[in-house]
Amino acid sequence: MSGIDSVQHIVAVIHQEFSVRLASSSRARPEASGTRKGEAAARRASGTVVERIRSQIAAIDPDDLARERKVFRSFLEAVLVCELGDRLLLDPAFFELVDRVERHMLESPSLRDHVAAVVKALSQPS
Amino acid sequence: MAEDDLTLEPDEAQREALLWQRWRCEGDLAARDLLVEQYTLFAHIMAKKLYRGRYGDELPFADYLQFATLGMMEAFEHYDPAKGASFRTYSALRIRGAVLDGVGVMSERHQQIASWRQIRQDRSASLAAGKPVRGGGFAELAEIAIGLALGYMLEGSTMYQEGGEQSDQNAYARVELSQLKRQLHALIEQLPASERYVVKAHYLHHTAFVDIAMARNITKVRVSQLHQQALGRLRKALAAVAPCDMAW
Repeated sequence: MSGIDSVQHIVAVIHQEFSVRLASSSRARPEASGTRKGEAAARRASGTVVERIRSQIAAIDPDDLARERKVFRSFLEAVLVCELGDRLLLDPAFFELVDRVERHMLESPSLRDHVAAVVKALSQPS
Repeated sequence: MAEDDLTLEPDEAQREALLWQRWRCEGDLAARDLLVEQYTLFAHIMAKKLYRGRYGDELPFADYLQFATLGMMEAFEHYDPAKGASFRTYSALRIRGAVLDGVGVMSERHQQIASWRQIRQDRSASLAAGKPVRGGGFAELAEIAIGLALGYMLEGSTMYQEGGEQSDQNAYARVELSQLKRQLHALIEQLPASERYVVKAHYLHHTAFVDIAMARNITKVRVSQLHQQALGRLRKALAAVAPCDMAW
């Protein structure tokens, strides 16, 4: 898979995952469900986050030895931004939080399989 | 010189006294180096003796030697040959004190690190429990990542305390996560009693699951379940109150 194909694949996988999350979240949030305004805002924000991931992943050198870890980091950032709100992107403390979560997950024996599965899915051609 | 014998042969004592005189009165650095070299050997002997009498195996001999050498150097700076006591007699107590203090602090730190590792492991296992890796495992891993992030936000870590050691390059930007953290802490009070207890004990008082289990007379597995339920409940409550720009 070429570098560009790889980026497209990774972003597509994450985008798909986001869509599923977004749908279930809209159902769970009474104030958002059933309102066009809420859904449109969520779609806009989702697009922003996915675009952010796309640019982050595209910036990683295909030959970078730490590419998988960096892709995983982008995934984590996206998950936490979507969960906690994209206002956090303005706060440097948010990135320290992501650092801690990332380090915890990479070092934890009980999470090793989960992390490996996601990294593999992100790295393989669709 | 025998290991436990602090006295010197007359020739040795005379040579040492001469070296001290050259160093203290004439500032002779070569004499100082000779003394330090000689006392480093003494510090080594003291470290070996204290290492043999150690109570635990957490620290290697190298740490004992380092503390003993530091104690010797400190004694070297303060020793006054005019007062009559030999350097070995004078420094032995200080070396012993330096080693015991150093080992005490290091052992405590080792225990804290081990305890912290256990706490982290408890959390990971609790959040991963019942989440088999399916397909790409994205959903499962996202759930776990969110749980861990909530945990770190709940924790009384200095990293998220306002006005702490953090570098406040942009105080306004720092507000976002702090606000979220305050909301999260307020929500703890809305949890059912048993879940509230686990969250407070684990995140606010850094208590390992096994200790919570003993205190509540329940199993560690049950503590893990309560922990997972509590984080799930907090997550939903936070999504309902937080003025998020988006949610998913």
